[in-house]
Amino acid sequence: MTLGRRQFLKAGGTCVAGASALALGFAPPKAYAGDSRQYKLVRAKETRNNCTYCSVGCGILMYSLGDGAKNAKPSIFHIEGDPDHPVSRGSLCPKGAGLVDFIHSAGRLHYPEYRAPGAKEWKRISWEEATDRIARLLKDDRDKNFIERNEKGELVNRWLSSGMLASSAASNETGVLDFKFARALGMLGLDCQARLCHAPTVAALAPSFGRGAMTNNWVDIKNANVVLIMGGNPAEAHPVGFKWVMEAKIRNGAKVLVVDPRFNRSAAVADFYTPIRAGADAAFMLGVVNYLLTHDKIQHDYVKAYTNAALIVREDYTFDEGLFSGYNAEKRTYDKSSWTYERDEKGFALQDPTFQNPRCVINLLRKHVERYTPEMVTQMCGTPVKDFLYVCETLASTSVPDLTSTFLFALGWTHHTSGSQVIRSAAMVQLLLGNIGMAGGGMNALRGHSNIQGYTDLGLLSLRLPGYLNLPSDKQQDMATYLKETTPAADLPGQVNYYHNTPKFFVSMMKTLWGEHATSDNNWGFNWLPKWDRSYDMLAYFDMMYQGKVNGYIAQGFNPLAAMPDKNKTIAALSKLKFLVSIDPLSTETASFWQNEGQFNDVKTEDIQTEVFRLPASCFAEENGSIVNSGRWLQWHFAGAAPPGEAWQDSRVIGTIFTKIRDLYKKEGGVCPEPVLNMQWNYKDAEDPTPEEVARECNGYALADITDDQGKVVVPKGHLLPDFSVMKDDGTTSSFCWVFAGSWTEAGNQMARRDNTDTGLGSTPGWAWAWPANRRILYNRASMDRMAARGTLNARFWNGMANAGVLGCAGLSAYIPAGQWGQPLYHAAGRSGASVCLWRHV
Amino acid sequence: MAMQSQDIIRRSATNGLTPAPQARDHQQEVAKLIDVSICTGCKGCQVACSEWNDLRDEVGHNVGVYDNPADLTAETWTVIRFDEVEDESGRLEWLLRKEGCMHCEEPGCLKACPSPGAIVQFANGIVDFQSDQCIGCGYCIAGCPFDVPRINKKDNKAYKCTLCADRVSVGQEPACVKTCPTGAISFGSKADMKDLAATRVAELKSRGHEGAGLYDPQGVGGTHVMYVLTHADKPEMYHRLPKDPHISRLCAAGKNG
Repeated sequence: MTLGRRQFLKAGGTCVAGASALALGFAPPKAYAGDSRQYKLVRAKETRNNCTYCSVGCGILMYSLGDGAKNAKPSIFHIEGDPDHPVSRGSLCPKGAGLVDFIHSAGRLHYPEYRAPGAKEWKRISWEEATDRIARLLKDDRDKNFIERNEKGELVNRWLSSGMLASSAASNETGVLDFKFARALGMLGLDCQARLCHAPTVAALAPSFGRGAMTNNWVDIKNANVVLIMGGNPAEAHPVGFKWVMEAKIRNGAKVLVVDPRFNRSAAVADFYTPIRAGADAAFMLGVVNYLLTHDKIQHDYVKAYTNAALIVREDYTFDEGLFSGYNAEKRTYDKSSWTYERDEKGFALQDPTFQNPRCVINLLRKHVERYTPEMVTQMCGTPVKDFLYVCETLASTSVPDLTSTFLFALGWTHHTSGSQVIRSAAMVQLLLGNIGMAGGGMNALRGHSNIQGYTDLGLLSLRLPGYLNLPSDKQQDMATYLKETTPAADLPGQVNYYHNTPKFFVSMMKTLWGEHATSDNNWGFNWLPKWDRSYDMLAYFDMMYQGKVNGYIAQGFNPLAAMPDKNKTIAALSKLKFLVSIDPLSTETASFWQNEGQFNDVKTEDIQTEVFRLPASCFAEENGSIVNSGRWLQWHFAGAAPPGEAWQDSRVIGTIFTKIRDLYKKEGGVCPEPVLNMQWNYKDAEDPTPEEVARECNGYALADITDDQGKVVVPKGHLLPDFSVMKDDGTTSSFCWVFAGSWTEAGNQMARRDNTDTGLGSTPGWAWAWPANRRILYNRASMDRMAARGTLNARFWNGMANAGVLGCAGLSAYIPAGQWGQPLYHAAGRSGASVCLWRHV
Repeated sequence: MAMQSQDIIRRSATNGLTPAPQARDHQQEVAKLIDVSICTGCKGCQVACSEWNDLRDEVGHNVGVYDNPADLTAETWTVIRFDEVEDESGRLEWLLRKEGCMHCEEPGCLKACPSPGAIVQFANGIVDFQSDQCIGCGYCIAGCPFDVPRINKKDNKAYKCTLCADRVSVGQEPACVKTCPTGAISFGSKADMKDLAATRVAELKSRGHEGAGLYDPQGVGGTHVMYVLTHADKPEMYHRLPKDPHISRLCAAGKNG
């Protein structure tokens, strides 16, 4: 029996001891009459979870029927904020405050349904029938269309005629299973919602700093002295995260600036608002760069220590009439070989710390942005000169060591054709001001879905692997070539360059994927990974679908008909599928795309020959698992009730379909069965893996005794890895996603930790677990005093964090060679096409 | 539980011969402080109110402004009011005000109510409607200087914010206070809230808002829901918040107190 909350309130029901009968609905049907209400939550079962609506990841308390007794069937009847949660502190925005109505939504699905080709109605079917049929359809399509070798005869092992959309609102554990399922079959048409929101952020921040994530975290915003909100409206989209903007303003005296085409909710409580022409943000930001350089408002020590400003760029690198050197007008492509540094005989970049050399990155940058005068900015952006200069001056005030600006942005920047350039330009402003790796600073990409950060981290994107590694292309036919091309070399002696460990991360991932089948003899199963020739992101893939080149598609917790830009084209594309599988808690437009809804969906149902399966899934409140908020915190949540009706958790849906496909391959053989059968799937119940075992697998294990340089065992065989520093490239460690290593250790589930002690500056390292290595602010080594005796460079932050153990000794000794400080990593100038670029990496 | 009949200090249409219980040393007065300068108008309070109080009003229509729903109803006990103004320099300003029952110290609704015990005031200052006693006459609407109570067509009874009397009775803050993302709504003893308001007013003045001040109108004896206004000298700017609210003489001349 499943009751909606309204029904529940009317029907009353079994009881919560101590609560009044009135509150539970034993009152007369007219619930409008009655005495003063009695408190309705006394002794109801309380379960902790996280809001599913956005990436702030607010803590929630779910109250369900029964006190936990076996004979009471829990049904959630009230949800409110968790006062212990360090970010939300009991708050919920209107979306989160209404969560209980999502759980009991009339749109929830209760049993599997099937729509036959041309049929006008859904038909109820059993899970058995549904999963049998789906496994059969997928296998047949794979066997028919799997591509083992491309036209050049290169081994590619890819399957392009079926694809999958994974859900950024599902848990990481579901994501791990999604990835293993899709890649085992050879799918390249694998994507998630991250494609549609912050893809340009990753493209801009990963090359700027190393990773494409929010650099700081929600609470840290309170440490800012200036908050620039541009390309986003967090008061509206992330109301509870915005709490910390108001905290900065009220308790830290911060100035809040909003630059936006519209006067919006964020502007309503800002100190200053100025308009901008939509899409002109890159000119605005480069104008700020010009202002900072012209007025010498840069943090010199920081820029010298932590950016590539001093590095000398090759003589043949040019920028003329809007084109960089190496342009091929015929092919409209760039040969980027000149976009790099002058190098010495060891391959290290030459540099001039005095910035005298005109070929220094900073001098080329100066030349590049000199055209963006305030007048030019005003002409392009429509922002009054006075207002533009006010923004410049306010930001410039934080070019000193003890003051910081934070930038908050979201889809107002990413949803432009120049999104990556805008964000790169802004990243350069923050580097010049010395605001990256600082408390109260950062480039804070405000993510959308509750686990879109996690799905990005787990590599659920067409050309990605977990932990920001790349899927090999068909040009990378052997592992040595792949690793050589994807492992960056240091540009300077003593540079940290943590990504030089890429082979360790890659091999450990391969040991998770293929288990005992991954050996050094077969390059850890390298041939079984699908190799790409081009991107099969969801926009490209729907275009292929539109051209009739796709037969099967799985939409898991994703409603592309509502999300894609052209609804008519999307319907036409879906109509060309042979089969569509929707796995969702809710009835979606996508699953019902074939239904005629008059003017809202005027399709010819009988002409649509797509078989459609609508499979009911659990929602956040009905599963255990972890999701990653925008501040990179992996937070573990707990089920407060069972899924409604016959609904299954996503892990069981994927586990069952995959197991059935494997059984078919075992029974009848087929094309390229090795990756399907060799994919490690050693869960206690292959059809229904538990989140706990998947989370431990994701963290990774020592497959043999791991020893240090002296031969002492640091991690015994069979133990969970304590962090990624112990990973090996010889197959003795496994870890699905290296940045998540440390999330579930021998000390237990670190993601479920609930110590909210503020150890300084709002940092709560005992709450949940943040990647990487529980660091709450990325690149925070840049806040350390480079010459310790001088005691400048935001010492307040370093001292606070050191005491807090956020970096800890392991952090220092493992990641930084003794006595050496980080230098910028790699990258040539101008790679994103925005300008000569500043980079930094720790 | 606290706040039962023993904690009632005033009761509608009850004469002085049978007064409310007076023997107890009652708890401190509570108050809610709404700082309009921090409110972003997210409406978290509106939803939390509906969830806690099990209200599900009909889905309304967009009337072309951010106000949604457009007005208070018997099943919508709080709404955010939006007013857009321009200052002398032409800069826009949004005036946001969370509207709902003010929980007056001298409640006009209670004084106007002819039905014994349909409106009560608790010792902590909360004014609550006892719907089973309500006769649907609508006098409370006439008596309210803030135009807050609404009659429900389904049962012909008046409804309004209870200041979450049920939560406060067990030591919790009202649902809207707990949920407010930016901290625009605070809750505590009335004395503490006045102290907090003074701090906020000083901060606003330091940022150049000369007219900032506390709204705790004395015409109704002060209220248990107070505002920090950026323009306290012109409260009417905030969706006709009365500058000097009074109980109409007609009501005040009523039956009791």
